[in-house]
Amino acid sequence: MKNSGWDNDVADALNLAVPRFDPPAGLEDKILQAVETRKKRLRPRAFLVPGLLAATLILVAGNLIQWAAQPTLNALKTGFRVVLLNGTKAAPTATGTMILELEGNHGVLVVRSLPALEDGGRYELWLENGSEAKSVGDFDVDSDGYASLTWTAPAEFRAQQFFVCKGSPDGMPTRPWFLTGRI
Amino acid sequence: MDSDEGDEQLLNHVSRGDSEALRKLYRRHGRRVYSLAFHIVGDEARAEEITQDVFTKVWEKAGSFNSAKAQPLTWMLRITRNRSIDVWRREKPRAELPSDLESPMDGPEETSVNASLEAGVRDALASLPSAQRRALNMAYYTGLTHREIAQTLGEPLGTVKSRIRDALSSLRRRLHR
Repeated sequence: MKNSGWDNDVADALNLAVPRFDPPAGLEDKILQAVETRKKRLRPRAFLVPGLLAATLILVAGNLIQWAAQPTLNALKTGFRVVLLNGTKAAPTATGTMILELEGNHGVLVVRSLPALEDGGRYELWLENGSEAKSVGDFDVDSDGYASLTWTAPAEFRAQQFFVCKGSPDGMPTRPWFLTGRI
Repeated sequence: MDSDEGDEQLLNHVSRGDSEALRKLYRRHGRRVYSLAFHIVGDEARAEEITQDVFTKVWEKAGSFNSAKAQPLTWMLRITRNRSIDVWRREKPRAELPSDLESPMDGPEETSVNASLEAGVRDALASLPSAQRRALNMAYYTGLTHREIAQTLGEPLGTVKSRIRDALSSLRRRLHR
């Protein structure tokens, strides 16, 4: 109650104490019409939250689809594909970027933060097509772990995965792998 | 919906969007709401607006009604008084003071639930000296401060205070008897 000086019993009694007057005849319908109008106006709000959720979902899904399709779209536009390579436990901070031809067998690898091999060995880039792996070149890194390598794969060899490991004299890929990436 | 449902049940229906329940509440209590509004603002059109506002508020707030704090009618009349005083204050420069409560609360009552209380208040008010009733009427139904009432009536502030205090004491005694 606004006037705190009034205790509720007295105040409520005084609210009942006024002389009676009849309200206008049309007031009942006017009130009912008003609330029905509000009901109709409010009805869309009942769907507002689910609607917003659905819109958000569509937006997110749309973005995800676009994001997933982006490399393909870019590849179609430029004729090149970009694949990111991630460092493994052996080189957790290392990163690599592979740019390869969509239709051809050429590519460029750029790596960063690969640790220098203490025994003077060289890194080796391997491509794998799901059934066999081929080495397409080796490289050293500088003091920042940076290196780049231009490579050419054998004809008709379509790489699906890439990995960088330490080169070996017997021409076989060795563990551990330092960088891996997949198309 | 049962025609004999209590006000609380009707409010419960209203909170779920049942406009027929609101219609029933209006038929039960619309006259009281309108009468209180009219007593305070003294204008039919304003009282009609306030009554509409009150029932719209009931429509919107029925879900938050707390029966532990008040009866539905009590709740509606509190809303009505507050809303009416707001309107009266807004139009204060040209608003008239509420009429005295000497006139009988005529007409058939909508329900007998509050009949004994209303009879008690009626008797209590009738028994008050007119000066006390007048001061009480102004203080309660307009929200004017004691000082404003004293200025309006041209009476000393202390006199107004004691009249209101004595009127309230009498009312309390009669109501709690």
